[in-house]
Amino acid sequence: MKTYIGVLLAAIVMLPMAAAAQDNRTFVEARGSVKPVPLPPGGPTPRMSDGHPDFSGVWFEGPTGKANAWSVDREQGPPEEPIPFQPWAEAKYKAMTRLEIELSSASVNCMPVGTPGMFTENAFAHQIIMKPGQFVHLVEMNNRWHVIHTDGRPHKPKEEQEPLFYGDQTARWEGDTLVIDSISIDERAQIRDGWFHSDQLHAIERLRRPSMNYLEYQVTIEDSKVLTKPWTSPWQTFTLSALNEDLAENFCTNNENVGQLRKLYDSQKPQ
Amino acid sequence: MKMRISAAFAVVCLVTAAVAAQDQNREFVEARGSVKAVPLPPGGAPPRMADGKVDFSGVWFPGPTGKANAWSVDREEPTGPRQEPIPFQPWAQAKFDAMTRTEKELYGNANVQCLPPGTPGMMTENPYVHQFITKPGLFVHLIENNNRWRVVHTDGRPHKSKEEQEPLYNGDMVGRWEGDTLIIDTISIDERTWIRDGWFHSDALRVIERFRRPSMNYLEHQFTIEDPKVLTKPWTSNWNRYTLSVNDEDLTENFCTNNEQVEQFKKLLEVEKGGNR
Repeated sequence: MKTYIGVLLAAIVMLPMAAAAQDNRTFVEARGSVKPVPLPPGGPTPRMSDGHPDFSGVWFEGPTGKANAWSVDREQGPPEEPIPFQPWAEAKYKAMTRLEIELSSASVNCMPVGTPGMFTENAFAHQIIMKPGQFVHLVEMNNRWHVIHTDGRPHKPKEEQEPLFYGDQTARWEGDTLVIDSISIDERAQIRDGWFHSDQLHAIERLRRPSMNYLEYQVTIEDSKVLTKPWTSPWQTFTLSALNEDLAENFCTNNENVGQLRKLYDSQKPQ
Repeated sequence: MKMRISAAFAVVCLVTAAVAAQDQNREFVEARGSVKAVPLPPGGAPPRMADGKVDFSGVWFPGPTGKANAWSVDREEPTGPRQEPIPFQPWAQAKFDAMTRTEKELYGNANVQCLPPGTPGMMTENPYVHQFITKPGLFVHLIENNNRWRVVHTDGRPHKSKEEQEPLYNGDMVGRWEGDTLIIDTISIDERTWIRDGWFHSDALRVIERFRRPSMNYLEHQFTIEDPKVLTKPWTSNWNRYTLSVNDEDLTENFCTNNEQVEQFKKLLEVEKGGNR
């Protein structure tokens, strides 16, 4: 896990640089290309026996179909809207140090990533297995899974709901787009990078596979206690494993980085 | 997780009691489901995948009732020949026998420490519910207990080359079909895992698991342990039965995030070490 966090930390540090310096600065080559070479579309979208798109496969973030945290091209696509925090939430969020944000991250503190963190707080590989009516999502990071029924069933009745890291999830098809609707999400989960939420969080995730090699993800965050209005992400690109790779075994069992970051945190505190 | 562990601990205690008192039909407290298990009917022929192989997909409970009922799993029912004792080498037998019940709970059980159960622990150290999703060439195993998964290719590919192997909780797993039985062969398993209940192993461990679905409602699992550094010969379990969820239940969300039991067990261990066994 140490390596993972190292890469993640490095990625977090480098991304703002990449955004700031759009002049194609060359970074150290980690794995895969620094200048990403996007995969071709790869043919039509595969479909299941019920005619809906089949998202099954091993998927990497970014356009290269490989694990290359360094080459994910954040410059492509429309820029993100700022998070429409309510004033108190904006103040709280801005007061967080980089270190506090790191410590709150599931990949650092080994807590479950939850919804939508499995997509939004996870720079590593995904595996999706689909059957008609069923969406199975595995992530490499800390060996987590969740399963969602895609038959459009309603949410559980209010009295059966309880806060869960994944929340109460249902999914339905809108044409070729799978819409995953989650409520009742544990407040210990976070959207990403210290973006906290209330018990009113409603996450609406959309997945589509425009061609064989590409999966696209978008999330809408509704949180009436924290935001002034709903926020929708740009469509994010994932690509099918180009080398037919499997997810690797990864467990967060004894995370030394937490101790290291805590020491750093303590040293930063005003004496 | 606290409740879960209590249940696991209770099952361990009860199974011991049940084995010791097979003639008493002792009635235990009813938790969920029946105390005297009512087995599910076979339910028809096993479903098959597009490639003709048996499809294990579904939500499966240990025992014959298709429900989560830790208390009613009927361990007294003969499911095969009496289980052979573990053929430990003398040094290993001595080490195993010297472990107290608390040490087995604390250091010999992934559930208490929140560590990954690994192979074969996902099956053998887990009294909770399983979900399998099989597709031609692929076996996906999800467990409720601490939200873990493993994926195995079932196309008969060989193990990774020696230089690519590294110790893993789930090991280097490959699957192949022998008739309607799926064989999962695993090597290179991290020594921090246990077979079950304090049964430790060496880096030479090889686990051969067999899965079969004789009918719609029944799944059977058997495992063979080869460990030439710890055992005198291979050991093979009985066939353990699992039944398809009768109520079409889903696995629930379960995370081992802050396990208070560890501290409690450590206190108990201190008491034991103080001579108050």
